[in-house]
Amino acid sequence: MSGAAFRFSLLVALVLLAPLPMAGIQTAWIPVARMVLLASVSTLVTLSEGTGGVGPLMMALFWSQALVWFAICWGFAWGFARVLAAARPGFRQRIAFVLIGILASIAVLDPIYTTPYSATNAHSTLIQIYR
Amino acid sequence: MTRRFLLAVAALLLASGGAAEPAFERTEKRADCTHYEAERQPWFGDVHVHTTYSFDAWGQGTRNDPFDAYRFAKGEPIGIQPYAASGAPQRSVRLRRPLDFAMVSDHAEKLGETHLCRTPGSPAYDHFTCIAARRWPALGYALINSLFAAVPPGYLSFCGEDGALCRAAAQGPWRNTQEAAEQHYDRSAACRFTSFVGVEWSGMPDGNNLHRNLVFRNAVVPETIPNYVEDQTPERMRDRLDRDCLDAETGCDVLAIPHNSNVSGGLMFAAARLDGKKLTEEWARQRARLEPLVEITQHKGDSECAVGNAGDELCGFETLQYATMDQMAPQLPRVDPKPGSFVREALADGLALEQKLGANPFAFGIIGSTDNHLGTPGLVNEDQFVGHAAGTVTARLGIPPLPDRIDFNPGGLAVLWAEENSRDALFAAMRRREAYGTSGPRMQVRFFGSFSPAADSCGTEGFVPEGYARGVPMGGELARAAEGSVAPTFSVWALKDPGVEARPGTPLERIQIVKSWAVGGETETKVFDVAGREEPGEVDLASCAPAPGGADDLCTSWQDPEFDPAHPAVYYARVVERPSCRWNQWACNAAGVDCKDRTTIAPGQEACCDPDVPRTIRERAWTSPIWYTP
Repeated sequence: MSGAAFRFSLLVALVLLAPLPMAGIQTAWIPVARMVLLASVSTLVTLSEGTGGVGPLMMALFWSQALVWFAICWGFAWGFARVLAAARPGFRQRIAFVLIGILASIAVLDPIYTTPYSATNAHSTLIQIYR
Repeated sequence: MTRRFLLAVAALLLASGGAAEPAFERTEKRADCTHYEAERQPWFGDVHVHTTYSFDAWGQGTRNDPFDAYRFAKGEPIGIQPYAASGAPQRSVRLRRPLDFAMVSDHAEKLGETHLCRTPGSPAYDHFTCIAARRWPALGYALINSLFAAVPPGYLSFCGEDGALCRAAAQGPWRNTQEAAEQHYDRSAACRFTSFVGVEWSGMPDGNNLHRNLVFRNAVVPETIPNYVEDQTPERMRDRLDRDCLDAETGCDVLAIPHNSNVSGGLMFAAARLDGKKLTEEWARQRARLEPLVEITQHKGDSECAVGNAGDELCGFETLQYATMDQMAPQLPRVDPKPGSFVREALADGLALEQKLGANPFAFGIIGSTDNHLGTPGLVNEDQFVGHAAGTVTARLGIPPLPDRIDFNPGGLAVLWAEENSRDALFAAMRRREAYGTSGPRMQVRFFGSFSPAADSCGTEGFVPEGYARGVPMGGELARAAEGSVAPTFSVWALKDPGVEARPGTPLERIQIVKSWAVGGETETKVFDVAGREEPGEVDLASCAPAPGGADDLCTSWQDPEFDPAHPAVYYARVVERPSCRWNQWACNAAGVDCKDRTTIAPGQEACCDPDVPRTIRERAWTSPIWYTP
């Protein structure tokens, strides 16, 4: 696995899986992808219903946090890839599989996400938040 | 002599309502109530309750509808959120004592939109806004509910340009609201329970709350109801009530009850019209005629007086420290409540406005209610508080560590002095303002004013007949003082809430009379302690036993020592209980929180041990005023 592929895999995994805090009506701990989803919902409802309510505020809040966390995820993936730059491709691949595997397994099995915006669960697993 | 005696007897009978003919007009076909009492009885109720038909209640997971709400008011247990995947409610609540009357008052705004978004197969069910509201309810709630504050307000996009789809969809819930009220109204001679058909006009320009609950006297109601989108000022709303109800010659009768002036940004009782037009006597008379009561207390805070008003240390009761409804969102900047936000100052300002306009627009009486969004009217006991389901704390996904935000409370009750428990009798009591509000307890309060009081009749059978015969009850207007007459005397008799065997009521601490008067366009206010007194002793926070002392009843006759017959004045009584536990202390005790042991404080229960959070309250009642006009 090349350094770029390692960095990309790690970034995708973090964006899809890592529970990160997001301030809003209530604090959620969700992946960046979910933040983007909520920001998109806010945007679509605001575009549909107008800017009279808190739509613009929620849009700004969610998009800004999603962008900041995306940048942090990218920085983390970039930094980790730099650390393993000298490692053999096979070792990088194993590291990537292990890290992503552990994170994904925990996320699938345990409700590690705090999801106050969900319709069904205050705490959700990976499958529940993307269902 | 004999003639004078007969005239006096006739006057007494007339004033007391007489024995044979009711003192109110009967507009309904129904059995006469066997419990009819000419000298009137106190009926306890709640005229501000939301159900799943209100967008904000639905968004918070409320599934109870108006039928459920009335079942609850009559004493049946009902389930509330959170709901399991099977649909089974995870909590159940029940009143310790049934209410005598209630009114479901769902928001007129978004009534149709909510119905369309909730109903599979409706033309809007698959619209993205509806999907957002169902799929991400907390977000959808914030995004859509905040549109209530939009200027100008509008229908949701799927309603069509003129809102026709949603106006038509609102007819279903509006008919169900009427049907629920009819189904639960006891038209038998037992007269056990009265339900009113009602709705809430929820005008909130720029987040300034101008909401009014509309109470219809009987089953004759307009086909369509006023809402903020169609009628964007209180003036237009009142004009519509006149046009579509009172002047329609259909038998329709209605009144409007403003609430939450505390978060109106000063607009509720401003000496100005929202449409910018000039204040006139006609405007003042219409407002006073259509809005004879205000809701002084409810779950979103108390609206009696600003902290520190007239040096009154009891003004800081359940007071929200921000000016508008939208400042409830903790993300938004807050400012202190503004002038024009409180009942007491409005009562005083009304006197000054009357001198200027020729009529008093703020000649209103007082009630309390809950504004409960769970479909559970009258659920006011501090130890039974389960949150109100229309704010930032939701029980939709689970039971929260504390039932509500610490600045909210369970709300209060409306009490009406009426001959019987029927719509006509209760509505007449509202219209003549013979009403009072409580912060929850069911204390009984009589309040009479007179220029020619009898010798002290406190605690005797003569108190009530003398009160009616020689003067006016709460809500009344004292006739002009005769040349050289003495100051008016006010008689107050309060009985503590007896409670129930398992949870007795709290003794009374004192009665106060609050007087405001106007001199040359300026107003002043003074608070008089007239019975009982503040006593030492504290609440046992561990057991929530109320502070010791107090009385089962207090009664007094008080003559205004500073009366000036040249100046208009308004008087109301405030009856205060001994301190008792606030809802948060009950909840913290139930959760086993021990502030000496930090390990017992779960996340979300930090307020249990916050020294800035009050743990006790002095529950109270506020009577409708009595006015004196020179």
